Amino acid sequence: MSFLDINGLHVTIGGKEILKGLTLSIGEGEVHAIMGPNGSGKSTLSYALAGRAGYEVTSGTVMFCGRNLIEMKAEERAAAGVFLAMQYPVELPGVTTINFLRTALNEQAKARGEPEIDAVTFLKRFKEEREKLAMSDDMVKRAVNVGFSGGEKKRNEVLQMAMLKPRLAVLDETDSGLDIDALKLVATGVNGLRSPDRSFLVITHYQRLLDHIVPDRVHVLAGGRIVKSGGPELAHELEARGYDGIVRAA
Amino acid sequence: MAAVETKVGAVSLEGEIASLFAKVRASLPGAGWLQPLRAEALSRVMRDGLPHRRMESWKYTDFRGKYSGGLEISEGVEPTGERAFDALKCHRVDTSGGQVVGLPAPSGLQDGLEILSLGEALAMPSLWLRQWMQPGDPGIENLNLAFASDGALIRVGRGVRVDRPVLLRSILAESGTVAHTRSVVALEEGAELTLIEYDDGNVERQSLGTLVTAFVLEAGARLKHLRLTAREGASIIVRLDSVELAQDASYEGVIFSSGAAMARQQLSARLVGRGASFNLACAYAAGDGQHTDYTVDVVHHADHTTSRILARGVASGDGRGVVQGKVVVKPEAQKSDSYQMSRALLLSPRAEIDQKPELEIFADDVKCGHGATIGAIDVNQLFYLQSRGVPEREARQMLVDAFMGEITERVPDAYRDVVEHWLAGRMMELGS
Repeated sequence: MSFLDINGLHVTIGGKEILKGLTLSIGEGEVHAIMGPNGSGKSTLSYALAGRAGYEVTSGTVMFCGRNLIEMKAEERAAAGVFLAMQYPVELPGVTTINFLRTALNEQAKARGEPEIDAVTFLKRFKEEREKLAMSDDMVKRAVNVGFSGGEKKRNEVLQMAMLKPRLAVLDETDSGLDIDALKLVATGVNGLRSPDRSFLVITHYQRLLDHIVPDRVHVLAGGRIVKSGGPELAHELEARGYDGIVRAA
Repeated sequence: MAAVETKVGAVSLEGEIASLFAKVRASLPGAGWLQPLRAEALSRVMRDGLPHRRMESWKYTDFRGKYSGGLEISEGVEPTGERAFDALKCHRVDTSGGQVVGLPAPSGLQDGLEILSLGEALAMPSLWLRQWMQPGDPGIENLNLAFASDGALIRVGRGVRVDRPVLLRSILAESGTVAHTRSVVALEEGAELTLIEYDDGNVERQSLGTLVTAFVLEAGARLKHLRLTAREGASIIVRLDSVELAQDASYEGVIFSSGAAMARQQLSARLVGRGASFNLACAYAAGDGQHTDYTVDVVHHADHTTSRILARGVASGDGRGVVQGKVVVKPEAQKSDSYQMSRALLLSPRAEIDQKPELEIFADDVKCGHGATIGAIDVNQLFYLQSRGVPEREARQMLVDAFMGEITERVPDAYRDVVEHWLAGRMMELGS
């Protein structure tokens, strides 16, 4: 039994089937990349894993550390260690990043029967993590993502990930809209979190990110299914031949 | 317009009020000059009827439909138990059921600050007071004048900055009763005052409280105003505030309302002096069976005047919220700057919110803007919170708190705890 076992997953949104029998296994401590053309179902997969309403699983299973994810609410999945770094992080006017993270941490702790984090420890950790991501004190005192540039929003996702310490981090096109410097910062943040008890599912459109976050396995998602899998060199192959070439040959 | 006839037994609601007036008029304070004014006010109530839906400004708030009639004049009860602002260092006036029951001792007031009860003032010839005791336009104002039994008169002298806030607390806690109070807050040139008001009282059967307040700010005077209208249960409360601002005078108010079966607050501001400024933030949370109404009208009479109206509200269950903001800019009020924004959240499918901004602009060199939005909780925001582990209920609460935060952050630090504590309690009862 793998860390994450997705088996024959079919997901429908608004009556339209997007994932058509997706099968994928990820071991503990592994970094897997999913690449695919637009409309292939990449974001659908990430939202379905996170438990977003409206993403209907019509058949198939998702087992995470032996638990059936599909039967769990979004907040339960988070407490179980699933984290989604979103492609389009949401703005939360009136909710500061500090308040947001502290509440999230404590709610997850409560769900797991652990003690809440005390203010001093929290602030200390928080300061360390945000400094690593070159995020100013000013930025985090403001409302979550309000007035943030695209790069700042993505860094905020990585900050949340660093604080919440998930077991499975799904990064949904974390590199989209980033310039090289922001990309490097985000990649450094992610790489800093790689560990034997944490797995990553890096969803990306472009190979560039994978030069910085080197995956153990690369999968190609097309037409709602994984059509090809391979080692990191598959990403370079895709870059050279394009999705069309790979998908037709698969 | 003739009163619509609705019967309570064989007598109309207005007829019943007339009988009550006949019964109690002799016991109301202010013999001599005030009696004919009260009688005139009552005859206007009979002529115009109680406010009802076909009066434009009461279109969304059917006072007459809600009013049950059959109410007796409240005798007032000593409030017991802890109340908001008990611990506040302030000059406190306590009113219970239409009677002032607690006044600060004059010896404890700084020079230049005068606090009297209306009852005390009416025992004297009171020339100054008469301008505030005149019959007015249709609505509750005349009902209030006919029956006003007491109130607070606060005067701050020239250049006096009052050292601590003045707190007016008013409780109406007996079911089936009515209480009417009338107050004046007058700031002379350059005077500064922080005024805090708190209305409470929880009743099982309908009770009605009307509170009319005249705020007069002379040149350069500054008033900071915080009000919590926290009446609960079957309470109906109607507040009428008139705010007159002379040159460079400034009014800054933050008002909250939640809990009553019907709570209507009407604020009329007149900016009569150049540079005057009126800044109001109002918030409401209308739960099941509750109806909250803020009706604001601002008239810019002078140049370089400023007005801001900011409203935020939530409604749940079958609660109803109403925000009406009318701004008039007269031809001579060039360079006026007015902006109003009303935002609301519907937390349930049966809740209803009506927002009506109005602008009448007669000057051609002005800045006037308005906005109104109504929505439900953003599902993307909700999912974002849930995906980080915040359960749905707590996530909704966080978003509602954040929504109301734009108003609560305007409450001065010294009083924010009390306001947030009260609001949190109201929010918990709100449900969805």
